[in-house]
Amino acid sequence: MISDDADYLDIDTGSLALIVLLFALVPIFSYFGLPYLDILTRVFIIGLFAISFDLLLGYTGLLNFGQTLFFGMGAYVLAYTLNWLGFNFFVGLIFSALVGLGLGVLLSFIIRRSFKGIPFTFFSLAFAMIVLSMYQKRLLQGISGGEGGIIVNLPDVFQSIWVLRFFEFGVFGLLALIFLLLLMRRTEIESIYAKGALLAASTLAVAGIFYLAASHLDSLRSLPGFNRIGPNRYYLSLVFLIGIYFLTRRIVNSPVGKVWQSIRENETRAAVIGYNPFTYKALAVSISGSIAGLAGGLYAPYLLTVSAGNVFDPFITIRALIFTVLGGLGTLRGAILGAGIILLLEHFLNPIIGAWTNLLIGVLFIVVVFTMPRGIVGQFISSRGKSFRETVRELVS
Amino acid sequence: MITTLVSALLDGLALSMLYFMIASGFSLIFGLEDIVNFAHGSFFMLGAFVAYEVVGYTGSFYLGLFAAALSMAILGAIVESGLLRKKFGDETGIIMITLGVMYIIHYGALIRYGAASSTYGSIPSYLQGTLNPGPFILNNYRIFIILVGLIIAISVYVFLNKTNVGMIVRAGIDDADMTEAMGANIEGTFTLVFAIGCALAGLGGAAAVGWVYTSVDLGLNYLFFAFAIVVIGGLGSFKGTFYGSLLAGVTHELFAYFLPFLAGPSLFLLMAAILLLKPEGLWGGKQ
Repeated sequence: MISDDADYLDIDTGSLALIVLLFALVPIFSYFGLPYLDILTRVFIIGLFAISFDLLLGYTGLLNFGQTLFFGMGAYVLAYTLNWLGFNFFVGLIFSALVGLGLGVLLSFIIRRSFKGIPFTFFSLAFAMIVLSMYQKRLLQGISGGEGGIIVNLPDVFQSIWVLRFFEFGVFGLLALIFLLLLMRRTEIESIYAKGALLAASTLAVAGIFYLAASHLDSLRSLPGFNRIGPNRYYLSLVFLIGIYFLTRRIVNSPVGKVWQSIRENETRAAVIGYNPFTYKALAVSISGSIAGLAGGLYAPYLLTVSAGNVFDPFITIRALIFTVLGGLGTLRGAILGAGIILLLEHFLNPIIGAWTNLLIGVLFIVVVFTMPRGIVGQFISSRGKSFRETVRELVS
Repeated sequence: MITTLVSALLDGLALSMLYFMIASGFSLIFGLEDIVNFAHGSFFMLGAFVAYEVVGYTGSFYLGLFAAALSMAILGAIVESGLLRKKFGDETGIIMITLGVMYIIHYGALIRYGAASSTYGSIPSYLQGTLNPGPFILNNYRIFIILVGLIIAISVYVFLNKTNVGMIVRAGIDDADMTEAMGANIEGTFTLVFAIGCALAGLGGAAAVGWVYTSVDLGLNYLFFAFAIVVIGGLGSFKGTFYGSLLAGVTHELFAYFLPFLAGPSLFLLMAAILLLKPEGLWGGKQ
């Protein structure tokens, strides 16, 4: 079944904006010593990777077990761009995304004859493992950095005070503007709750600007132990996550996205109607690959050292699969939510119960599979017909 | 040159048998129950650690092998009848459950063993050292692995082809619903086959310890090897799994001896090539 109701119309804009605002505020709080910036940055980047995974699995029904190929190459390409070419960080990100795109096209063309289900899953795994084991070779130490990996030159952008100012004032100003515009234009909003949320959000945003302007930011910044890298990296990752999230949501609700879903449900029928399954699947793999490449590019300066072991690790894909299924397959939001829940659980429980956290997560995951087959988002938030069960049924049949 | 070749072939055969012990169970379970068991490599890894512990405590090598196979059979039966059975008909749900089991075993092993990698403290003296007929150097333990693998292969073959339960298994691979309609206890057969598959994986892991050492990484690595071999041999085909293991193991060791650069990716290159040229596998049957 293809769902007709467009996701981007029925979403509660007010509450989503409020969430974004809350996240945009985190760096301000971090000036007072709240140490959540790094882990949240990680959630954003891995969430972006999980989105790329969900786009392919949840909407097109293709399980790419070698998704880390795109991710890892993205990270390496960013390191190459910064270290060897000396280009700007954003140029590096474009290269990362392009490499993901190119690899996606390449993968699609190589596997075009058995482009579905288990063969695709296994082939993508083989492709990624071949690249991984080449990167682990001594012969290629020059480009892979060997065991220790490549140390990524920290991009200038992260150290720039202007970027930080741009984000601090820009994010708030933009948010305030959006909220107020929404409040004024969308008078058809019935819910008093949504109206209140919008009003509160815009007030908070305006207050944030005044707060920032009024307080002595530069003196705050000169506090010992503070640097600009954390907040800058945080804002950049957040902006990319939000941008890509809305972009992919737009794509999956566009005619192309509908064709993907129809291919997922019944490829033969889609082909009979006149859509070329190969073109659409190649498009899905390539778009997903470019998002994964972008996520890898963002991850490189977060890790600071890029090595085959930490960006090509197939366990990253397995974890993305778990995030996506936990949050809800084919919901996009679920991918971010799942990544957030598990990474934050690990972050907060690890100091207390150590590695038992992951055991707990495994149990939690199995419980979710049994009790909420559509994942958390599918179960509680969305009412759309995104059937977790049917989505990858084709995989094993 | 010729001595190196003989050593490479011997190592290749030994590796093939390790591959066979993980891939045969994986393939049987897939063939009969349509379950892609992502936890299969974890059973291999856990079997390795169980054997390592038991040998450490009791000093008896064979008891270690037996304990690994038995404990994995029990664990497999519990996972199958306790978790997977409730999700039959929901392939994705089953994949997710095996994935969750794998996740739990992986991190559980990490808690206990971390990055440690070790081998048996004591194995029988006749399994140590080498045989030296003429110029050749043959490692005793690897010969032992080959023998174990061959015994397992023959036993499974006899079980599948000469026993009544084996007949039900073969019929079930063909058409599970029809087999059940004929009055066979298909659920019991499912559990049995799952347990046997896990026992083979556990035994393989236990046998591997004396050669490639224990490590948590065994889990994912050997899961991927199993993927590769069932692709090479043909999904769900027992014969194909055996020949596929031989091809994969020998290829890997030949590369390792003569062209080490390609040894790591050789299995995946083979897998990719076969997916492209002959997607049903070299010995794939009806699919």
